[in-house]
Amino acid sequence: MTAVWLVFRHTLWQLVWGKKIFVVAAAAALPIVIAALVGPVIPDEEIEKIWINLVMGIFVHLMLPLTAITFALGLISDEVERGTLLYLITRPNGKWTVVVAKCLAYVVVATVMILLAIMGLYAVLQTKEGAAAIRAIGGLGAVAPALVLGALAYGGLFLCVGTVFRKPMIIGLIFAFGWENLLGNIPGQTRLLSIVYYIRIMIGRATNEATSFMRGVHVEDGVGVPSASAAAVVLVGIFLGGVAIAIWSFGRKQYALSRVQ
Amino acid sequence: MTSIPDSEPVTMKRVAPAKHAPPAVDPSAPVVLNNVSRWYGEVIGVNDIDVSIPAGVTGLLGPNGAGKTTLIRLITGQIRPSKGEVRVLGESVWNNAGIYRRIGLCPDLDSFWETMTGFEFVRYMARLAGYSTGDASARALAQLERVSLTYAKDRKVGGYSKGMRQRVKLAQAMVHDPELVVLDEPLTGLDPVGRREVIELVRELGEQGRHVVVSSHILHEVEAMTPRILLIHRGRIVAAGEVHDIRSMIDEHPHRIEIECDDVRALARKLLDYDDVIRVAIEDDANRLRVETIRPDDFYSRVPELAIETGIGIERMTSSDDNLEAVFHYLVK
Repeated sequence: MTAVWLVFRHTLWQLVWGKKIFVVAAAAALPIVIAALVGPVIPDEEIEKIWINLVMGIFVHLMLPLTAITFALGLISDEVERGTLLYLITRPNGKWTVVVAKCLAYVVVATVMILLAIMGLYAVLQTKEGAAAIRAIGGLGAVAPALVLGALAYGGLFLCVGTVFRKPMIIGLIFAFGWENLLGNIPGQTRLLSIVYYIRIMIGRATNEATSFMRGVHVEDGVGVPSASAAAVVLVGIFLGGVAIAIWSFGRKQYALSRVQ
Repeated sequence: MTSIPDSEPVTMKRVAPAKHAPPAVDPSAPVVLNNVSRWYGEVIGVNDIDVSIPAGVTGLLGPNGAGKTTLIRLITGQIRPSKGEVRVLGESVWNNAGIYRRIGLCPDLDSFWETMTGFEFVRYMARLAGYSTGDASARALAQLERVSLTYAKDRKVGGYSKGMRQRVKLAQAMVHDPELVVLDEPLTGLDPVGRREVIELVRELGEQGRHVVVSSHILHEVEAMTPRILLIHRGRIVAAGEVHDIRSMIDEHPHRIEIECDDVRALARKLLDYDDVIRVAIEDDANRLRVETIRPDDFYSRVPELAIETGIGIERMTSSDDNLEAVFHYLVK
């Protein structure tokens, strides 16, 4: 386990002090800035709507996939590009230790970034008179678990993509901003094939389902709509499945082939 | 002695490599490759290699693109053979993490976590090899001392010169005291002093009883490190043995020298008087001679005297045979 700890610590350091964090920080700051700018001109009774719109519009549709693309996609492929992976895989530790350690570093950084961002937005909106309406639909507790699990699901998937494919960025972008937006918004069973659907389900259920105005959220009480806990299980499953495939693929892959001589 | 018409291309004779063929495989050797081939799609990296690398220091010699790096990647378990088996220190090497306690690799890639200091990098490698923080620090310092990099240990690797980067790679390869050290082109980028130090280091490793496989495309570099070499060309081991065997084999065959001078015809006439000169050709540009000699040492010592005696101005003298590619031409043609 020492190897996991060492690679985890080093990866954490790379993520926190690397340039990529500025991309995620910018996405995290965006809803806070918007709330601060529009807050003074929005009527108090609209605060709840602003909260949900920013959570769904920016956090769910932008920040989560962006965080995963920025951090998780490059966990392995950045080391390959840099040529430093060789040092990690020619040490007496199973290759799985590299994947697990890097994945844990992603989990920590993504969770902290998302929680800081959502708490920042919540704090800004709490300065408004109508903030009680946000608390009435569950407040932070209603959205934070879904956002964290969503970040994990995207992270596991993109870690897998970054491990399996040599040029993962295009695939990641197409999935995050094409597939997810397309399938996640098509009514019917196809939505089940998108991650964003399960995040919406969790948020929709937790925010009391009375918030029927939520953009893009369709939590019908009909047959086939999962419960919040089922959606959470699916998100965790996607995360674990992605990590498992990444470990399997990483163990079989011959990374030296990227620089054949 | 023969002369050839001006501008006729020089053709070398075929050389049978039979007496230099690789010896039978010794299954108890530290590194054993049994019928190993590695293809990259349509491209052959190494082709049906059946060889054992004995204890001590062995030079892996071949021109660029010969398959040296592929062979090293197979030996160090970075890639899997398409066919055959690679065994290192008695164990199969592919997907065998435990073997890396016993192997140290100095790769040819010039890649680092650039913001780490030299000390942090080597210590990190020692920690990943299983040493405690204290032990890893002590080992890192000792290895940095060994490669004469103590003075720069606290500088970021990103600010290191090519030679310093090469040396810090060597330090990480040895930090866990491996039984087998594999060095891929370790002299690349080093200045003459650095080269001498690394050559000494390789010899020292050999004297300590470690097994070392060191690759290079420069014969005299390998010769300085070890007398025992494996010659690889186009993915095949074409010869194995002592360097002096290879040297004498080269000396048995015509050595090509190009001379640029101000009176090629006069010099050509003079050269044809010597019995070791078997061919002389005047190149198209009319101020260059191509000479074939069977005693290059005699020839090199004679030319300056000849220049003084005749007053011919010699501008340049080069030997294409210094290029390893020419040696392999002799061996495989």
